[in-house]
Amino acid sequence: MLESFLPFIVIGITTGSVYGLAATGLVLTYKTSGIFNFAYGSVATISIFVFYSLRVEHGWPWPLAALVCVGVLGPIEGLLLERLARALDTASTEVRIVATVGLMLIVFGTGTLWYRNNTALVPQFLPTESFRLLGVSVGWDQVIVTVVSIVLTVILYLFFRFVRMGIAMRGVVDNSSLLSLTGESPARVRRWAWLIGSVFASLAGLMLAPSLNLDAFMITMLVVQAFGAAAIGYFSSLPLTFVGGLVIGIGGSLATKYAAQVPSLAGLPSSLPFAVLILALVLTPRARLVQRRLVAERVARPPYHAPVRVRSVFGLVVVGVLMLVPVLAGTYLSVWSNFLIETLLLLSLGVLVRMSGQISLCQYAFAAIGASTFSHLATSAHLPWALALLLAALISIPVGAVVSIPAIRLSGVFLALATLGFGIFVEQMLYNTSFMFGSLTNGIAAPRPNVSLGSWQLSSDKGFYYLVLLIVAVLTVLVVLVQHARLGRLLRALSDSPIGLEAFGTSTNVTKAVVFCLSAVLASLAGALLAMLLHFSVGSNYVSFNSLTLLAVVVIATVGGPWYAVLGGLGLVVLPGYWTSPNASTYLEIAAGAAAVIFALQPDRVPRVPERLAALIDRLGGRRAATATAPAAAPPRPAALRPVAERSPAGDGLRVSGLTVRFGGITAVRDAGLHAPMNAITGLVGPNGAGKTTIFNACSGLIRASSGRIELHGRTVTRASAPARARLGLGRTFQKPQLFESLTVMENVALGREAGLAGANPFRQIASSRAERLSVGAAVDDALYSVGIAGLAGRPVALLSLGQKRLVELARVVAGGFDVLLLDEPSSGLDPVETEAFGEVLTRIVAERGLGLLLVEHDMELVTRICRDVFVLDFGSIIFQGTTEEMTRSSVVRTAYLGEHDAALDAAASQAGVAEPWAEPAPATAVLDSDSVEVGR
Amino acid sequence: MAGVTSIDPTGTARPADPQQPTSALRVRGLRAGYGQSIVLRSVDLDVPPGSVVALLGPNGAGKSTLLKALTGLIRPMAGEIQLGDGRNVAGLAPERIARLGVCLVPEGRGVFPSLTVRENVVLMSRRGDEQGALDRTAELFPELGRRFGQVAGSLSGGEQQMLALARAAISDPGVVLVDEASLGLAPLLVDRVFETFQRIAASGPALLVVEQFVQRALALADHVYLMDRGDIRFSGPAADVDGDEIMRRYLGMSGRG
Repeated sequence: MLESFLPFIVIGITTGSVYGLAATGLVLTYKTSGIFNFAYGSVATISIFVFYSLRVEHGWPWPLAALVCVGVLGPIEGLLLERLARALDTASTEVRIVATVGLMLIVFGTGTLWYRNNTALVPQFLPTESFRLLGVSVGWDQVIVTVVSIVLTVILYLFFRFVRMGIAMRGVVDNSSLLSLTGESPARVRRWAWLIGSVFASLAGLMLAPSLNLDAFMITMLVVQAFGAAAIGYFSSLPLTFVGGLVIGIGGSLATKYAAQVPSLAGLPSSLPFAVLILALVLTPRARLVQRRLVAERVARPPYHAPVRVRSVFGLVVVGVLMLVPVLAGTYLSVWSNFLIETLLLLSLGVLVRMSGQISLCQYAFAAIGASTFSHLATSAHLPWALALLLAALISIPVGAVVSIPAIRLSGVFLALATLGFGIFVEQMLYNTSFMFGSLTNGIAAPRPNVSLGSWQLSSDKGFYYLVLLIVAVLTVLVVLVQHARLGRLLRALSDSPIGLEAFGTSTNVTKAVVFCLSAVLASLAGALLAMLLHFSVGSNYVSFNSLTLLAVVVIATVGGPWYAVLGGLGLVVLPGYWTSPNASTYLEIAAGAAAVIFALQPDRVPRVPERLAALIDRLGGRRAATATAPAAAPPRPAALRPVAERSPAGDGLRVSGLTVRFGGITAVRDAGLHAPMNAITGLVGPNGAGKTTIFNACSGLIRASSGRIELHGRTVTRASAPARARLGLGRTFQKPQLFESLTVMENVALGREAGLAGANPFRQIASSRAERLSVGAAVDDALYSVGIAGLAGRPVALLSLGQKRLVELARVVAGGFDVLLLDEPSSGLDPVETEAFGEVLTRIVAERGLGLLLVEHDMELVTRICRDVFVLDFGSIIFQGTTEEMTRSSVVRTAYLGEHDAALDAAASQAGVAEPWAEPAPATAVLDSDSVEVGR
Repeated sequence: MAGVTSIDPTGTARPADPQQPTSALRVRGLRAGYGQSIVLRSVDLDVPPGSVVALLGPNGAGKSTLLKALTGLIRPMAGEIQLGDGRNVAGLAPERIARLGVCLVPEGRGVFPSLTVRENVVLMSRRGDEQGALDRTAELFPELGRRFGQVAGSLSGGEQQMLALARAAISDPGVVLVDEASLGLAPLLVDRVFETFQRIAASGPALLVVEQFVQRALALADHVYLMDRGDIRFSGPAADVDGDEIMRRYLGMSGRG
């Protein structure tokens, strides 16, 4: 029994240790630089191709050829990658992904051009004599490969433990600016990491190479299996990553054994690494999947948008031109049909990437599911054409919902990897089964509609073109409408600040699911239409890896609206359709890759529209040049305006009792109790790091209380989610404003209201009713006037000063119609005059609306002026409560601020439970501020 | 108000005396900020060799920004930062400035949490002096010496702060800048931090400390700068400054001395 397994295990250990080596190098570069190198397989590809050229074509001895590949090319590629990684320092996640995807496309293309017609195998260069071990024949090549991989991984591990540069590599992961303060250059450390990573990839390539074809795509896919190993090591632990490589190697090898016996499992060996990737990503505790080096700041300058009138006219012109295509295109008509379908596919990805900041690398899998479902329903089940198409779209909804599960847990590069894994898994495991396209190379039939309108046959090429044009145009308009409806606003808010959105009552998990479903529907329709165009549903038209090219196009075609999809379709379909030279598609692949890399290297990735052109377009569209009105131009407050108060502001307000919050072993808040009654401003003060923001986060539901109770109007909300608490009437602002930076002041304030109306209901998240729009409008006007920023209404938030942003945050939370507001250091960033005015605004808001305000504030003057009661927090415990007047006389409070070491303080400290001097409670300032809460999402 | 107005405004109390030894750190017209927002307008500041200088001011005054600009963590927009040897380091990368003998102990925990204490000390040491640095750490901070194998992130907050401060004592800097080292520490630990300041100062380098504990900082320092809204508002000998006055003016608290 065991004998039949052993040979597979030996093979598995050999390949697995190479995967382990490759994955270790990948993790090393990702950890130190924050750039996940999708082109990692390309490094191996280059190594194999050059080795083949030197060894076979030029007859070099293999050790020399290998040395050149690993010892010369590897480091050079490492240095180049490091340059690219450094340029991507300020880039968004999608640009980071697209940059390395671009590199990969370049290597694919170049490799294809180089050895297009070469079907030779890379020769084995290691000794292949074998010996018998436990009754199994083991080759010396296998022994050498395994030993080299293990030894190198162990050396790397020891290097990390005992060599200063290795320790510095771990240090740069912990805190790169601290490393620079010790006199070590983080750039130098990262350069070494890239160097080692590339050498490992080159070496892994060479060790995998013997008996491989010179196929850049296949080699890259082989190395992509290492992604699964990296996921097992949660992209961080080197030993676990190596073990992950072994697991994948042995698992894959054993799967081959089973696949040979059970035909329906034929896809198992090649899909297993991706199943592992998905499982590891979904099962790893979220806290372990740390996004390395988050993007510093979003681009401050909002992109230019032409007036609606201009955009609509332009859209009609484009549709008009497309109507004429069948007259002009002749034999190229199917290219244009294909172009329309590609536009729809790009649009389906744009809905995710551009509107909501989510990343998907499985659009082709959605499309394939749409195509195969349509074919089955129309061909096997003989359903009418339109019904089959509709059902195909409907069936993709649960698929989209399933894919949104990783989206809810993961973000950024991890979401990209999970969706990439899903796409490749579906392709490898299911495409060739009877569930989808079957095992025939022709796939299954996909009939066009057999409908005739007079002399028009919809199944003719011309008729079908118009049908596709109609469907794509309608769906495009639908997407544009969604973009301008509530869902569009929520999605932009989601991509700007998920926390900001949650704190105002929108369940962003639902929003993410909705947008993934929408995207899946559009992609599956595109897939079904493509199948009809080609008369067959066949897997080779839905190669999952092409989803990477889609992402590159959606990211680098920076024009607005649906036009990026049109532009992308022209580039991806029409250009190669007309340019029929045999190498055309390869050249285009290289060009697309180069464009992606060049785009990523730009310092500012928002396209500039020349001012004169913008002015001209504005004039054509009848837009006045007065969007940036001076505050003086603000219209006076309408007399009829009444504060919008839907909930009766009567009740107990916010009450916290026995609240304890622990982060790991650190107690940030200990047994704190406080009460913010209605109709009053209550202060919460204390030295830096005392735990004030932690209390806020626990109250608003952004972090979980370890114990204790939080009540709103007597109702316990301790276990409720953040959006649910917001919907119950608890609003908040943030120490670091969580505004929606890509929107205007008015849109931000409106979302304060709308986010709560959208709530957790998918349908209410998509569109708003007329009554809701009116109530939002009234709430916005009211809030803008109350806070005194009506003059700023049309300004993009990104261009405001910190002080103005604080006022916008206040207006937004006022518009939200909450009963209890938590304001976190609202006056920081305001000058004394502004602060005084701000205090008056707060007092007035409370007087007018009877709200309860809880204020974390450092400006003691403001606190003493506007607060009635004050709670003083120190070391995570409430050390004082009383009126402001009592506070200023309290020696306990003075001590907390002055640090005088006297008896009163000792008493307070021991009361607070700080008995053990070396274990003080509130050091984790990093955990306390709101932006790091975001990291885990 | 009397207490404050008696303090000399920056510059007027400092005659240009060629006999005086040059400053360990001499800052003139420093302008810095983040992106388009300017935090420091034009800061002048001197840290004489061997002295302890306290930098006080309310939250958001720009103290941390100043320390970051001095050490290259943010790039100054204008101005000069001269070290003891007269070298202008404005605009250099932080690692260059660090190697020229400027040691910043940043706000929060200035340690590498996932490295062991020993590995932290190795990274903090000067190149080639790793073993010497380990020996000195064990000697100066016995409690750390006993925990060389422990992961720094698992130390208590106070121990982590000791480890961060140890860098100033073992890397032989010319000037040490400390940002809020006592922040969030229990009172007994604050004592330890201030003791460590004295120990560092006694070992040679000049010391510039940003502290929230006004009275204690005044007791420690020879000279004090008060900062508010990005400008140095006052400068003078620490002995002349009335701490209570500072409290009232800058922290908005009133009370006894």
